[in-house]
Amino acid sequence: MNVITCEGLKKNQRKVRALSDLSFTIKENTITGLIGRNGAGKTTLLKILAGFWRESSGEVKVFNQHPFNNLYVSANTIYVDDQMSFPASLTLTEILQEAEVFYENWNGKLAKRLFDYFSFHPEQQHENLSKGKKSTFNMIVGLASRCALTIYDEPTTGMDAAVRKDFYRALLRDYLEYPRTIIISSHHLDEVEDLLEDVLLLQDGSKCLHLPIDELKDYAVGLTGRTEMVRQWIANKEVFHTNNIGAGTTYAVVKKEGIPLDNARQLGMETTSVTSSDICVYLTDQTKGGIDDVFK
Amino acid sequence: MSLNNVRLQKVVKKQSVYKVKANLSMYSSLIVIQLLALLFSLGGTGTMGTSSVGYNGITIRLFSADIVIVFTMIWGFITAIMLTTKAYKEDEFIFVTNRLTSNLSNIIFLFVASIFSGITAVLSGYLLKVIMFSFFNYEFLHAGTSSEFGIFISGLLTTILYVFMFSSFGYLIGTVVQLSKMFIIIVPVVIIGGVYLLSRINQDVILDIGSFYFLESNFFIALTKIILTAGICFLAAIFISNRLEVRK
Repeated sequence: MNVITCEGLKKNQRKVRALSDLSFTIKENTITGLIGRNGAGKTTLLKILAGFWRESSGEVKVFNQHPFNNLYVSANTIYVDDQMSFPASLTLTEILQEAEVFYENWNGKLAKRLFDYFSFHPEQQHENLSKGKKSTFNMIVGLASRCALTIYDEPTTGMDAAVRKDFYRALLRDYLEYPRTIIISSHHLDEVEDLLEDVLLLQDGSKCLHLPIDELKDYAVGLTGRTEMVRQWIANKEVFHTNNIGAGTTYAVVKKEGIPLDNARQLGMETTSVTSSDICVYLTDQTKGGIDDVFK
Repeated sequence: MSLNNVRLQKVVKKQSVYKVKANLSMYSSLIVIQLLALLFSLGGTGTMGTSSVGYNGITIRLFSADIVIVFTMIWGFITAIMLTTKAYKEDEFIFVTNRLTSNLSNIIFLFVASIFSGITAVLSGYLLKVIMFSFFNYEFLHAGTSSEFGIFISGLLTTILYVFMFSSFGYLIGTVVQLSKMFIIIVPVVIIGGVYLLSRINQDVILDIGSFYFLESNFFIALTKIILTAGICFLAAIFISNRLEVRK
């Protein structure tokens, strides 16, 4: 069953096109990573899926219903980001109690144990928490609510390395115990890739790739060799990235499919695997030249 | 994975309870405002004076909860505007909600707030009299209030509904402003300009509007007028806000 279906989804924000012609489906009980550069449209997409924003055109379905202003979708969806704002008159414990009232699947025991594990003070106010602590608390709300669709928009903002690791581990363990559809948007694919089943890569508001993570890891290959040879060899292939890495040596990343790797090795080129995080960076590279060119 | 089906009434009920708890700070502002109004009332809310040669004359002062009630209406108006602001919208769109349940629970919250503030406003009239008795040295002509219980109740009810009506004005204005920030300028211009134009055509128009709502002697007709006005404002607000995007 598909939890999310998008067909030709478009979203304009005033004159700027945030999403253009986005079509994809997300299956039930999978963890999908939503990856993209800053401004690629990740948050816009997630807010439309959560029913906060209205699409400009196209069709979007969550649980087979149109999410905007939909109570059914809202009851089965939680959207977690670092901007979550809770009433200032409630303490952290009271916020958790209120969340329990609203979400039918709420796991109070888990919330309490995570709350204690991350040593929150029960009487503290949400607005007085540090950035990382806020994110951690929001993450607890997201985990404990056990919504059929759980959306994390950059959940680890401000968290330190240890907490981030704990978070990913907690997310995975709770997912195994209670499977649901999870979408995580992140800049750090290398951090989350062990969790993910699928990756949806956005570029400039449209879909760049939507693949299982295993296929993405095997998507491209890196070639290092003498510049002329590499240049000549990659001429009619799909090249994602080239870089001069020293006198007369070039590093190129090409699509792996249909590449005669043995042939490349015989010609004296070194073949290396490319991490999925690097592939995503190369695929969505939109800058002209490097940052150094700015200062010329 | 099982999906939860929710009923509108249930969510509205949960949200209303949540809002009464979450917006507790609004009640403290109410108490401060009512105490302030009470302070202003100490000088008397109305005076009648006679002067005659050889005497200092007589001044008759009226002490009533009128100022407190007026202040409470203003409080209701501002509280309703605040409920429509971004900060409050974000607090409620954290949990299960859509625009309809959010509006309905806001209206219920405002009604509860009106009941609470209406009761304290009316009762403050008695507090004022107790203060006059205890601390001031006045000659009391008439210390009675409405002797009949029925009149007291109808006064209480109309006070509550007046506060509710003013909160519906605030709610509508707040919602319109959420639509576009331009309305922050347009709304006052339209209201002030409209009143000015109307009063040029007919000088008594403001008095007429005032007496339409405030000088209705028939209790039930007054109730109908107030409830209808509030209902229209709230319905308009629900209609307008149904397409608003949240959590920008």
